[in-house]
Amino acid sequence: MIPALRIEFWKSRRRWLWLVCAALLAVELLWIIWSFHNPSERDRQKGWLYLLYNMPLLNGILFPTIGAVLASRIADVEHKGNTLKLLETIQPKAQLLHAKLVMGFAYLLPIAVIQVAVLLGAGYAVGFYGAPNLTDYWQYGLFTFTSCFAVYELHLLLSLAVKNQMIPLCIGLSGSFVALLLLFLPVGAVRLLCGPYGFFGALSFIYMADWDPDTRVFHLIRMPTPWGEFAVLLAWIAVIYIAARIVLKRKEL
Amino acid sequence: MFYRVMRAERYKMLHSPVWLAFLVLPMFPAFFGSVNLMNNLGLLSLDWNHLWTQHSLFSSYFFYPALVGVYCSYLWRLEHFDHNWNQVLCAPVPVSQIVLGKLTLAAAMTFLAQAWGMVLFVVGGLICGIPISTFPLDALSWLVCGVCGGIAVSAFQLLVSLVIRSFAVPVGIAMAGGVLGLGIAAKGYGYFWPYSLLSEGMSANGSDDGLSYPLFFAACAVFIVLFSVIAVMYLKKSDVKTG
Repeated sequence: MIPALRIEFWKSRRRWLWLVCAALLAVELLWIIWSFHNPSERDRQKGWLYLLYNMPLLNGILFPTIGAVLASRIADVEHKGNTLKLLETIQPKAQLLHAKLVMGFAYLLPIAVIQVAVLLGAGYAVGFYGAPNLTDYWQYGLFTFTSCFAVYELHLLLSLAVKNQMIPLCIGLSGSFVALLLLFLPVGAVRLLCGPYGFFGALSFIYMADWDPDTRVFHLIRMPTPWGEFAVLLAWIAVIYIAARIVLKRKEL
Repeated sequence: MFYRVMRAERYKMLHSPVWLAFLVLPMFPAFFGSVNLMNNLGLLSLDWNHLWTQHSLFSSYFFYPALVGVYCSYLWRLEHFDHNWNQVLCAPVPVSQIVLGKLTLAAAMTFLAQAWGMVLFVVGGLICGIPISTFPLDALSWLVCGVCGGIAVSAFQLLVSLVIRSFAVPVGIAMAGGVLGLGIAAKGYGYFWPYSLLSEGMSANGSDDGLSYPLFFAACAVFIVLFSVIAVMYLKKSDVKTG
C-alpha cells in the first residue's frame, strides 16, 4: 500500500491539486470579508453562530463541483495515460482505489481544519462578542470533512468508471443544485436518501427562527447535534465504497 | 476553409452526450427558482420579474459559468489527448480558424442554453399561475444580453481550456469566476469582468438597473476579441505539449 500511495503522490506533483482546495477556501474567505466588512452590533452578537449557520450553505453550493474537479484530477490521469491496464497487472484494483481515497483524505482533511481555523480567526478579527463554542466548531469541522469526503468518494467512483470526464463534472454541477434544493426541505428520509450532497445542510445544527420579514430580525438556535444523520452519512460512505469496489472489479479496460 | 473547420468540429462532437447536460442542467435553477418564488410569496410578488430574479440568481452566478466551462473544456479535450495537437497543427488550416470554429460552437451552445432556460422560465411561470399576457418584453433583452455575456465567458474559458490541459481545472476556474463576479458586480466594476457581464446581462436579481447597453456590448466585444486573439497568439507562439 505504501508504494501505491507514494506513486499517487508522485502523480499529483505539479498538478496543482492544492489550488483547487485553496479556491474553495478563498471564495469562502471572500464571502466572510464581504459579509462582515462593516459589522453591526447584531452581527457581532450573533457572529459565532451566524458563521456556522451560513458556511454549510456555501459548502453545499461549492463543494459538489469542487469535489468533482478534485476527483476528476486524481482519476483522469489514468484515463489520459491509459495506465489502468498496466496498473492492474501489478496491483489489485482495490489498492488503486484505496490509494486514491487516501489522496482525497489528505487534501480534504486540511480543507476542513483550515476552514475552521479561518472561521475562528475571522471571528476574532471582526470582533465577535464572547468566545466561540469550540465544541460546535470541531463538530462543524468533522461534519464538513465527512460530507466533503463522501462527495469526493462518489465522484472518484464516477471519474474512474467513466472515461468522459464531462459526465462526472456535470453530475457535480447538478449536485450543487441538489444540495441547495435539499437545504430548503425538512430533514427527512427524502433528504437523506438523495446521495451525499444533502448532508451539508442536514448536518447543520444551527437553525434560524422567528424571522421577521419587516424588521429582518431573526434568532439563531443551537439544535442538538445530528448524530443520527451523521450515522446515515457514514452508511452512505460505506455504500459508495462497496459500489466503487464492484464497479472497478467489473470495469472493462 | 471556415466551413471545413466547422464540419470537422461537428464530426468531433458527433455522438457526444454534451447536449444532454445542456438539456438537463438548466432544469435545476428553473425548478428551484419557481419553488423558491412560491415559498416566498410574502416577500416576492407573483409576477414574471420576480420569477426571473429567482431563476437567474443562482444560475448566472454559479451555474451557467460552470456549464460554459464544462463545454469549453470538452471542445479542447480531443486536441489535448494523445498526440492530436501534432496532427491539428500540421493540417493546412490557420490556427485563427480553429479558434474561431471553437468559439462559434461555444456561442451556439450558449445561445441554445439561454434559449432553453427562457423556455423553462415561461413554463415555470405558467405552472406558477402567472398570466402570459403580462410577460415582459424585457425578457428579450435578458436573453440577448445573457447570450452576449455568455459568449464573452466562452471566449475566456476557451483560452483557459487551451492553456490548461486538464478537463476539470477550467471548470473550477469558471465556478470561482462566477462567484467572484458577484462581488465585482456589487462593487460596480461589472464591465471589467466577463462573468459579471453574464450575470448583469441576464439581469440576475434585477441587477440590470442602470445597465448601459452600449457599454455592455462594447465590453462583451472587447473581451471576445481580446481572449480570441490571445488564444490565437498562444497557439502560434507556444510549442504544443502532447502525449
